[in-house]
Amino acid sequence: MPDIRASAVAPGAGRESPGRLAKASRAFRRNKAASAGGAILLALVLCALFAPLLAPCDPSEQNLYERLKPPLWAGEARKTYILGSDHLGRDQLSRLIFGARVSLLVGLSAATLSGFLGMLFGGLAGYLGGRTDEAIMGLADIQLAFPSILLALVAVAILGPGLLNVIIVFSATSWVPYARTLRASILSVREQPYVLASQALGCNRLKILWAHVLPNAVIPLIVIASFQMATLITQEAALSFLGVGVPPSIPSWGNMMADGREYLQGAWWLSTLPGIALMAVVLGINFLGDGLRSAIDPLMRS
Amino acid sequence: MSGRLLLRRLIRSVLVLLGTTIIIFATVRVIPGDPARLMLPADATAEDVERFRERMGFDEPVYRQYGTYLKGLLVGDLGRSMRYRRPVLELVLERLPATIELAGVAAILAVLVAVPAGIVSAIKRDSLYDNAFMFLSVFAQSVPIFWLGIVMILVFSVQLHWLPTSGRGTLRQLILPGIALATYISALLARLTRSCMLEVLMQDYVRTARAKGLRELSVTCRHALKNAVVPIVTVLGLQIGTLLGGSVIVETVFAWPGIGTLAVGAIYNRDYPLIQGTVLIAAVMFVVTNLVVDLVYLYLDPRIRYG
Repeated sequence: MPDIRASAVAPGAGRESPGRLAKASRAFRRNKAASAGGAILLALVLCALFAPLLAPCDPSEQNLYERLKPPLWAGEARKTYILGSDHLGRDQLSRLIFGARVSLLVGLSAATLSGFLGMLFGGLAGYLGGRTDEAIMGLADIQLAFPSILLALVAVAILGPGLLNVIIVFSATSWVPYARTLRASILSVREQPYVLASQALGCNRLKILWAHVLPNAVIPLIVIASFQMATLITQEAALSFLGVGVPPSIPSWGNMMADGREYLQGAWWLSTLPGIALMAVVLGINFLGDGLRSAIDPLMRS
Repeated sequence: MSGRLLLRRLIRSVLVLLGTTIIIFATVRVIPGDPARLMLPADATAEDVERFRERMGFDEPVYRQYGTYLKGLLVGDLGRSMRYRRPVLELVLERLPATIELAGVAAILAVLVAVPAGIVSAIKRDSLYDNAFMFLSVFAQSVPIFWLGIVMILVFSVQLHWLPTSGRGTLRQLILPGIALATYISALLARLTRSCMLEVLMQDYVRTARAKGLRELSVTCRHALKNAVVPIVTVLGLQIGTLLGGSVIVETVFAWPGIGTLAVGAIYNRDYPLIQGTVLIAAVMFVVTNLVVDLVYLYLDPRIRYG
């Protein structure tokens, strides 16, 4: 019996999906911007993982005699500070490399945690329907009524600044897109013949959710996660820039930009270079997400 | 038909607003410690605290307290700012025009740039222009706005001395913050315009219009664009939140005296009544704008009205 059921449950799905997947992955590999984005993301991961090996100096080591030194190409030829030094004489390059850790940690963990939260809410809403659905989607509407950065500012102001609090706040406030996507997938396949067939065969609804709905929703969810990660990395930098994110003792790109603002007139490199790093990473992730999205969207691929 | 739909939409907006007030009400109460102490200036005497606690009903059950808070909101009582020692509503209304001015200019700028750029890109699909457009739009979406603000100040104010670094009052002071705030939503809007136009241009009625021998300009503007406008306006309505959130940052970078700087200042000073007030105003603006957008559709699109 089980083999009959298996073939009845997935008519054509097994035949079609490898072809679809192969086409998508071919389209993705041909997309140069997406590959470049992947390379940038890989560089970020490597920087974050091997920061102590890559950084020429200790990022917190101060040297007040060597304050506000310009980058190598802009001033006196000094080998010590390739990208210049800040107002406390700390090495900018080392701080940038260590700053990658904060960005990656916040982006990855908050995007993942909010993803699970969103999938839980979206799954419950789509699966149970009725009142639960209305309540969860109502909560989503309420959440969206607050500008996310303002919500994060207020929440961090209440919980107090700190890396963990930033991650908690971001995870709790960015679940809506995941929930909506998963809910929409559930609603769209609920009436499909193969789902009705497996229901008629006595498959329980949880199993249908697991076997038929999730696989279809996984790639859109990953696409959302990639865009969310880019947004969250920017938001963390914005919070730190406003002085309520990661504490000043930890080198982060947002903190560096805030510190450098005071010295805009004489030391342009302090605020601009961390911004370029941030932009490169966000750009890379966005290109990657874009590539993924167009790879799975046959309309855009053709 | 239309009346019932209208009523349902109104009820939903009211429910969302009620939800936001519950969340805002709860924020101060989840902080460990005495909310009366938190909401009063640090130099308040024990008597002041006691009197305030009684007036706010902090000893009463939570649902009663919420009722009192809601009743206050209905008559425009958003509490008193601890720092300015003035009613929150007054402070917020004072700063609101500046934020509306900035967000309005950014929205207009975004529509003027993004919609034509997106249309051309859709018509010339896969051309060099289209590719450059797509690249630029991802680029514009990725630039952190506070960094863009800093770089523009560095170039146009510090280096070239063309434009002032901060403040409000003259048109020249509006240019840099306006552009900084418009960049992100322009990119979003342009990409959306492109994809909506692509979809509409594939429709049968566009083919029919072409088959009738209409000029391409007329096909694009009168037949295609008209139908692509609905999703574009919806997204613009939803972007009010992004605009308000973005203005928190842009206002801080350019010292623009709006709601954003008021909120950030309130957060620095732990001025809880003022924090609650600014967040509430932002949420109300979002809900009301989206309600208006939906009502406009209901009027414009017969499919929604009778569907």
